[in-house]
Amino acid sequence: MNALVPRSFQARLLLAFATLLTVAVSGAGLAVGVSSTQQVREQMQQKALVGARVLDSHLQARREQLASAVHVLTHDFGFKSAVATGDTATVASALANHSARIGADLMVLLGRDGNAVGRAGPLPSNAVPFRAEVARAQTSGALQAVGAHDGALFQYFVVPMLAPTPIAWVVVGFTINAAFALEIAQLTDLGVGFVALDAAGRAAASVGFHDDAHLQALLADLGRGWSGGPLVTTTHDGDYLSAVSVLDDRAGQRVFAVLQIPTRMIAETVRWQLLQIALVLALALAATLAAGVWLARRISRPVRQLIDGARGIERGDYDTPVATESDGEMALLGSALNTMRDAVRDREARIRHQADHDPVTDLPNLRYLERLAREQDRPFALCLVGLLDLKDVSFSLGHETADALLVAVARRLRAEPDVLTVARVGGNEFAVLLPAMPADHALFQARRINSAISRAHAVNGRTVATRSACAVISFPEDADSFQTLFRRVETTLTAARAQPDRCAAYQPGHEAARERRLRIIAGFDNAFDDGQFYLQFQPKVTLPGLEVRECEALLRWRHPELGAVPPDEFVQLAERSGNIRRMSDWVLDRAVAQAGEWRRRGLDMAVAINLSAHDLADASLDHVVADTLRRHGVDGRRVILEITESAVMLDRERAVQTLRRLKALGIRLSIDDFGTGHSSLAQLKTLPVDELKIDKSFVLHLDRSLDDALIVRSTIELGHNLGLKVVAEGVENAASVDLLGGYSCDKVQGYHFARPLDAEAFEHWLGDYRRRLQPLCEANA
Amino acid sequence: MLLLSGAQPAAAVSINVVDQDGVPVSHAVVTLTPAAAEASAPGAAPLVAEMRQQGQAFLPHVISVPRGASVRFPNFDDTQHHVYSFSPAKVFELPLFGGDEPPPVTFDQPGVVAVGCNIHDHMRGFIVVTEAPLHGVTDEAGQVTFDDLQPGAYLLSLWHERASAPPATEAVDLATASAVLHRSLPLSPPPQPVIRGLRNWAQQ
Repeated sequence: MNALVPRSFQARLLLAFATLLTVAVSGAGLAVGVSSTQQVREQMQQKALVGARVLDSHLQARREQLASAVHVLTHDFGFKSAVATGDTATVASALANHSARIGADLMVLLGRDGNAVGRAGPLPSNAVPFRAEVARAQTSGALQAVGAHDGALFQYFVVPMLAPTPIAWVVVGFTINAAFALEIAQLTDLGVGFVALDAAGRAAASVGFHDDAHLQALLADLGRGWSGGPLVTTTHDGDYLSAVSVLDDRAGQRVFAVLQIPTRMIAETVRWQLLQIALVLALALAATLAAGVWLARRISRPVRQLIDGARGIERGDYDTPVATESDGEMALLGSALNTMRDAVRDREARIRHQADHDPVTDLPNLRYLERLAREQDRPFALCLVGLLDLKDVSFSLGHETADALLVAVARRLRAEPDVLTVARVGGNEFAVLLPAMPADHALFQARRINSAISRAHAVNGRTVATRSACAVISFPEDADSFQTLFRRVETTLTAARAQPDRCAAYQPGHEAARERRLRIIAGFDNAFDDGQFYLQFQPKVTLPGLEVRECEALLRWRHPELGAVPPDEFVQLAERSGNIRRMSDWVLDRAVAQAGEWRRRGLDMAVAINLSAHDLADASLDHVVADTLRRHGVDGRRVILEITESAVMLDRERAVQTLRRLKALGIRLSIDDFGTGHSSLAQLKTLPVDELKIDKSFVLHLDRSLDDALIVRSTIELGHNLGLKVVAEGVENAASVDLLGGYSCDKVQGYHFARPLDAEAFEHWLGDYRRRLQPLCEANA
Repeated sequence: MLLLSGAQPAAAVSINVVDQDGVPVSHAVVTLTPAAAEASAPGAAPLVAEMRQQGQAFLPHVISVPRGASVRFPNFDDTQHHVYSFSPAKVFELPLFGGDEPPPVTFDQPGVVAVGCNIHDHMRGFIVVTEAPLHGVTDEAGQVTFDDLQPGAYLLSLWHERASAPPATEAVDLATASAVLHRSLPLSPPPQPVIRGLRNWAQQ
């Protein structure tokens, strides 16, 4: 989602409010602004027109004043009489009197011919001819006018004095001057000016224009076909909106009154109005937003509560009900959430139970046990119980019975005293969590468990017996983590199976041996190529001549980390880990090669090579051997293959066939470790072998054990009876050599002569031996 | 007397006056003066003419009188009148009077006398004082007729209060027994009622 768009419902609601409102308000503002400009313009025009009317009414008032005055004057019989009789002094005083009475600026009496007879008032100072006006008045009866005379503007009447025909003319008037313009300007709040234009369009007189540029601009605009409407006049100090009235328009002269408003006043007014509108709108916006916030809160509060409730469920908080204080759909949604919360809680509890428990016994599983153990803040003991016969039960009685047996065992385990927790941690394994206790107590407990389980179980209407093995371990004494603890107790269980009472307590070595085994197995890969494997040779000495014509090749391993690994240990692991064939082939190749080399150097030495049961099971063994002999150019008679009797017994038929084929290569065969297996001499008779090697366990203490001596002597005799040579290994002293010589043993092998040696050392030893032997033989001879 | 004086038969002449538009002009004064003028018309008794005030107007509006004639100004209205004239031919004043008729005014100088009323400004009358032996005022048809006229050459003059040109004298030969003369007299438009309606007029 766009980052600019708020995510919360409330904020979105508010944004929508604000957007709508802003659009509406801006629209309104724009509309008001536009209409306002128009309106203000119209107002200004209206104001100008009103101003024009004000001016008009002022002029009208003055006109009435003048009319009244002139009426009085022209109807004064005495004045008429004075005029008619040419009484100029009287006329002059009467004019002065009337002029002063109304404050006329102009009062002139003209004869019928238009010549001035008399005058009064401040203006004009010099004679003003009104002949043209009188001529016009004669036809129209009288005249009212606004016009320029001598550069001054006047509003005036020309009225005949009738007796009853005109005997004279009276001109009476006021000036239209700056004071008048100012008065009107103050009244109307407008700029007021008057201008009279002569026939040529020039200003004959002007009043009220504050500078000539204004006047000229106005004259220019009036000259451009002005048709009576408002004018917009552009001057150096801005535009002016002008309302123009024609005060007089007759041949030769036109008089205008001009009322002006600067258009910037329009703009200012509009701006001020817009500002006010903007203020009002801003206030409205703020108020509406506040209302919107309140409303949005009100609307979104239930939503927020539902969200909080849903988040609570998400977190796994199933105890707080979702708040449903609102009504309508929100409340329905809230109660739906609550229902969902209960369902989720139940389902989660079920799933968690399933995840933590074994479905067959409903006991905690290993995962749960681990958690329970971790939650134990006290030391504890763990007893791992392995059922030994479960597979048999399942096989013979069906897995339902096996499951029922498991349930029965579980029940029995739980019934044991001091048991904290029983868990099923594997197909046939239970773990019993016990309080911390000394190892011997734990072993006692383990034996109790074994005996409890070994009591017959009534299962599915049958009586089923089973046995168990128990391993005990203590935490934290025996491991610093549960995983280590469990791994070690499992190892211990393996050991326990081998115990008579099928009970074992963890001992630190268990684990180390296992780790060593793993490292040995992992080390095979590199051992062949890195020269870690090497061969040693131990001589076989003939009796009674003490000659050395054969030796046994023995594989040795110098492990980079573990050092010298005993052959018994690694051979067994090689067999288990599937490396034995490769190892045997390597030994075969190296030993035959050594025999070939010796042969080439004139040393007549046969090499005995050990084969394992796996080698013997390989049908291609004879091919491999034959190939090896050929490659190194070695005669089969220089090779002796030693095999254990148990290896032969594994698959006797095949072994016999393989041995026959090997024998056909000229190879001699020897039965190694004779006496430890279960084979009988009768079986041995049928094997195509050449010699027996009596196991060194019988030979080592030959000189001290009568039993051993008896066995060795009997074995030698029996071997001879079967036509086999007999070899004794493990000969460690001269006494044994003498005994064996007495028993007619054919060859002896052991530390008494030499321990296994590298090829080079072996050659040295042999040289020494032969030098030492020579005098002996000669002496014997 | 005129009827008896000549062997020649008397002539009658009608003079029709129209304005520039051919509209008959009433209240025009026509005078005829014989070209071969004797010093004066002998035996003419002093005339007393009348110009009364009736309906706030002078009736007749125009009269012509010979020099030396007197004119009476009887008041037939309910209101009083103040009859005056500032005309050079005769300046007079008849201050406020009602039913009691003021004495007649004698006009002994020729000329036009404009008569007004100081109370009623709109009232105007004209008395044309002439030395011509023959004079008369056109009627509503713009006609004036002179009977028993000695044929011969005469000087004809026309006057009207609104004549746009000053009166001029014209020679006419009235040789025939009877004649009808048609004359055109350009007039100015009637004056605005200035005095009576000044206030209204000012408010136009």
